[in-house]
Amino acid sequence: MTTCQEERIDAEAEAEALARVRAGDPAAYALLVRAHAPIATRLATFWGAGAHADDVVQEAFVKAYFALDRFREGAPFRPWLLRIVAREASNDRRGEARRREREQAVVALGEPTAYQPSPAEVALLSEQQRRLYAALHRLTPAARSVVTCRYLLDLTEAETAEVLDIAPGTVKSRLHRALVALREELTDV
Amino acid sequence: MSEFDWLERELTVLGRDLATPEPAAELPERVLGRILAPPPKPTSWWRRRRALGGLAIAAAASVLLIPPVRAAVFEVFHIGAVTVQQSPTSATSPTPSTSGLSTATSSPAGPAAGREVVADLATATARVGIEARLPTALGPPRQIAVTRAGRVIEVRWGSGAQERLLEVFAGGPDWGYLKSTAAAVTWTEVGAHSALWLGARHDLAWIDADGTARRSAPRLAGPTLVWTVPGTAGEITYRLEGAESMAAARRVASSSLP
Repeated sequence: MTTCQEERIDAEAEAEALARVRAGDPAAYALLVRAHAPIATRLATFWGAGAHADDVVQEAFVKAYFALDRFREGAPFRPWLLRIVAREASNDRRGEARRREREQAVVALGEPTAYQPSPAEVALLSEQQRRLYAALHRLTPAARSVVTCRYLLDLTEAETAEVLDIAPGTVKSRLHRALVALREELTDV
Repeated sequence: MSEFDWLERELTVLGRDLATPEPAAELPERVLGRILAPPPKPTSWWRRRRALGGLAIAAAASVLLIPPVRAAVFEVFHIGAVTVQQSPTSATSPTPSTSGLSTATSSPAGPAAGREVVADLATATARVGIEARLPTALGPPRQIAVTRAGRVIEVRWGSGAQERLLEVFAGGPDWGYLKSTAAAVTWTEVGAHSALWLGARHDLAWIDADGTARRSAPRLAGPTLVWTVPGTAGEITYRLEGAESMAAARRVASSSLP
């Protein structure tokens, strides 16, 4: 399968592409899509979009484009986009849950559900990683979402705060509590 | 240094090791397709169709001719004065065609009417009343003509399978080219400008601006790159036919930019 090749984009090139899009050149948006599609797809997957990840990401990019007038000029594009991806993935999942009439599947907006890697994928992980992964999924959804953003997606704390729409201090405290819980789980056994 | 360093490192490595899917290759094109041609809503649909005038009639007519069960026009794309309707039942047949491009003489109801070979580009731009820049990548052209009753600049390079055809025109909301294809349509860029690549042979019809939206007989066109460049009197549409690949077409197209 051929894939959308990630094209690295620096802050200056990104600002320039955004300026071109604002000036009425939609083609420049393709640069931003290529640059951010891989992390957007990863986030959608960790948020439980599963087979819908492509659709979720596409929808998020389209929504982001039409919401660009609400994007603060000069701000980093990535966390702003990822927030839309997370919201889109949650909406998609809730829609899916409704479709399946699983009324008991109450999913809080903006929190990842358990992402289930395939058995083949799990086989590639070390024993330690499997235990860590299992422990991760015993965290509360709120704790798991900060750990997913900060570590699995390797975002900064500031980006994590923006993606999850929580205060930077909340990111810090939730991360700390999550790390304590994970350490206990891992050293207990 | 924090007491959690090792755990943070483990989590970051786990994130990298979890093989999440790669984004789809055509994602940028699909996003651009949605942005540039949003799926029509019931209300805006008629407004757009009415604005399109002649193209709408042509499109509607072709839809009516298709059996209802297969009537779906997948998507309609607009770029400059070119409208592309992508449909699973396009009249385009996979019949192998002779190599090379349809020429003015071999195309039955083609551009022969009102076609006039001119000496140079300056004469052509003066006659049509638009600016045009030729790609330098193809060298000096074999022939420059003014076609479509003085509306289109037509430039040809090479001959036979090596022939390249460039058409430059202003077009309008209700006149220009209508392309029908069953194959994939790819959004791309030429420099900073939006472009559309039709990699497969497709139906091509000219909708004229004489008020009655006369549609000249369609002909089969080879792989084509369409891009637009802003001009002083509005958008100029470029249409390059005959390049062997999208990359080759984009290279040629880029060489026409200042």
